[in-house]
Amino acid sequence: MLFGFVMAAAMVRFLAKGWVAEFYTRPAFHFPYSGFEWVRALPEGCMQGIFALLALAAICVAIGFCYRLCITLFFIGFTYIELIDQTLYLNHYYLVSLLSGLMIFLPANGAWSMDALRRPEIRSDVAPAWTLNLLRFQVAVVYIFAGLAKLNADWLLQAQPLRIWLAARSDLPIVGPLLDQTWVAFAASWFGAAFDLTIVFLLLCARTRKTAYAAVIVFHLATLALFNIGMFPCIMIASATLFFAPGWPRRFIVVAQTDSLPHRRLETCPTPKLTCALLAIYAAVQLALPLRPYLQSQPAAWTCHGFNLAWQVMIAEKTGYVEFTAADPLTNEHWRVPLNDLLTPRQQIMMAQDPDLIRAMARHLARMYSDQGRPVEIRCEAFASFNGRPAQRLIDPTVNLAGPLPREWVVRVARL
Amino acid sequence: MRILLFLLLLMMAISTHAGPSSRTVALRDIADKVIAPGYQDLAVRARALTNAVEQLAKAPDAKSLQAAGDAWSATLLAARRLQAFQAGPMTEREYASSFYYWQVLPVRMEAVVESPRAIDKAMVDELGATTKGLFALEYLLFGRTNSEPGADALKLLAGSERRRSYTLALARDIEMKAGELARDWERSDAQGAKAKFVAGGQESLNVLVNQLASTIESIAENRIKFVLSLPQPVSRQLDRIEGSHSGTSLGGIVAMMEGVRTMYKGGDGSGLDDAVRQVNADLEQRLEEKLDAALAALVGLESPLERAVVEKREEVQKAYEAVRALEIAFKTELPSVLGVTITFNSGDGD
Repeated sequence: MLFGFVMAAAMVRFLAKGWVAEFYTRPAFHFPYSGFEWVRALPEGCMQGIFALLALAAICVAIGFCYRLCITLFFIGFTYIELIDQTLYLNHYYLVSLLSGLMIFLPANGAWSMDALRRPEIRSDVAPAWTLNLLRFQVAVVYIFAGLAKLNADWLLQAQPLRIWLAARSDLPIVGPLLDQTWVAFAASWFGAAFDLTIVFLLLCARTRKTAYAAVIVFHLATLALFNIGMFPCIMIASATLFFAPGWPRRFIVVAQTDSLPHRRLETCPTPKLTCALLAIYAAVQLALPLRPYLQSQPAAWTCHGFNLAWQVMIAEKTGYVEFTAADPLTNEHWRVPLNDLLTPRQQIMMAQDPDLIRAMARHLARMYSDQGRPVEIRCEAFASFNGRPAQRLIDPTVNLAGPLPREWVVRVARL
Repeated sequence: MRILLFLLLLMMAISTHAGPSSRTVALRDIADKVIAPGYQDLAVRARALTNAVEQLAKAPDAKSLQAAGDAWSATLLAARRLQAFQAGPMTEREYASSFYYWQVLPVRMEAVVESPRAIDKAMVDELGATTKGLFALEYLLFGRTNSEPGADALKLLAGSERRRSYTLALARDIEMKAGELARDWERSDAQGAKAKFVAGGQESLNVLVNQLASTIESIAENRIKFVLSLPQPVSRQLDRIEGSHSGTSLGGIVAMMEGVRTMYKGGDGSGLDDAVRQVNADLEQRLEEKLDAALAALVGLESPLERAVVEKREEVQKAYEAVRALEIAFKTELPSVLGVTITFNSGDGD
């Protein structure tokens, strides 16, 4: 229910802020994911319609009406909009796709739903334990890997990037001047890491659950006030209730009529082997993906290799700047390629931080010129500043990004 | 619950003791000690320009023309020192083109001179950016002759009362606009430009940082690199070099860079440098060194750009590189350390 209502609000928010046009239909070019180049944005009217349908589907999920159909449609629709452009990737959007995908297979409409009201045969006051544990596992993965990502020198020893981000909110009333203080950034950094690493266990333990949930609410409301992170805090506050004892809503909400109707009661039975196998595969993938950054010799936040899908949440302040130059190898002519007609300001900001997106842009530019009968080489002047470090080159300026890449085409980041 | 309340009260007490944030102080000082006085200076220079043009209109000769030209140059440099920040009244009143648009059209200006319509305020208000403003005045005061700058200007002014009236009307227009801008920035009430700028907080900071970066880029790419890329001989390309006819091509960009520096440092008060130093002292040191290097490289050229690019091409190239290094720093390190990127961006983040 909470998930449905939060997602409905999120979709309405998207529509109200005009982001459908700004992010999906106005850009002349999108950065597709590898293997998903066929996923394209539809005309504006269709995209607006999709978001409206997603909001409706989310409400239906919340009230448990045609639940299975609606959650499936929501999963497909939401994942579709996420696959259109890499510059729109957010960790919490990825989490929404995962949760909605998992919920397709869960009997979440067995009680307190319109479906249960209409179809007595599906009513149940119990659900297999693996359904709850699967969702708990997914949320736990987010917190724990987000906490592990914070165990680095920038975060713990330099209080970066919080020193930058908190100081940027020093105009807030009452607490503003505090946020300018270095010791506050250090305290917030260490507390944030400890919170992420321990909160799941504190929520699971009955003795500490109440205090832990209060901390969840305070923590995420604080992040909502301080940072521009949209629905992330609401999603995490809602999903933290998964760690409560099952059936906890019944302690607070008296449901009159449905409780007096006959319920289907499940016999205790082991989880089918196929289900176990699929769960194990899913868990293995969800544990493996966030480990990719730790296999890199450079910080994933710098190279962006293995950064997405790894729950590297809010650990990097990075600003990039890139200029592309096209060179005609036959005539030796070279010229700067303007991007304002191709990319929105937001896309340019996001692209400038990510070597892979810079390369994708270079290849697109090369294709454009090639289509005009003019094969070119594309190089770039790309600089980035990362967690307070001096700005330095991000990409080797001598490399033709439209061709095969040498091993070290991304310049190594300097130490802080 | 009692512990939470205690912690909240403790935080509020510490917060009160901490005083306003360094950014709030920086914005206040930049408004009070740089922008407002800058517009005052512009208004004074514009007034002096009108006076000089009045003298020229009464008695056009070499001396009065020289005086008017000097007053024009002083007004231009005062405007250039403010060019790094054009938000607020300059934008709201749509006056930017009057001070900064330089690609006037001599053909259209001559048509105004030839037109029978009376030259008054109403007529000047109807003129477009290609026929009025500071650079229209440059055309009238300095002319377009490459070999003897100003020779044809004096002859034309002396021979046409209407031309002198046109020149005076444009000077008065500049004076009126500069005066309005100065008064806007002098207002001390909550609706005044100063108060709005300070109250804007991070939003004002975002705009300021982005405009500073944009100004530095403009110096590097649209002025220095552009001149370096002009085909030879440069003497035939003077119409393409901003300020070449008045000899202010270098002075103008030095003034722009000085404006960037003064705004960054907050004049003799707090500036962005203090806010940066609060977060990263090493970065502030680097930015200051780059600013100083860029300014020194530009000042060191000494001659107007159109001459320096011929006589001191290597030094012009080095000046470009110094300004370019500053441009990169102002586009990456400065926005990053002040949190400008993450806030000046639509959409959510995580």
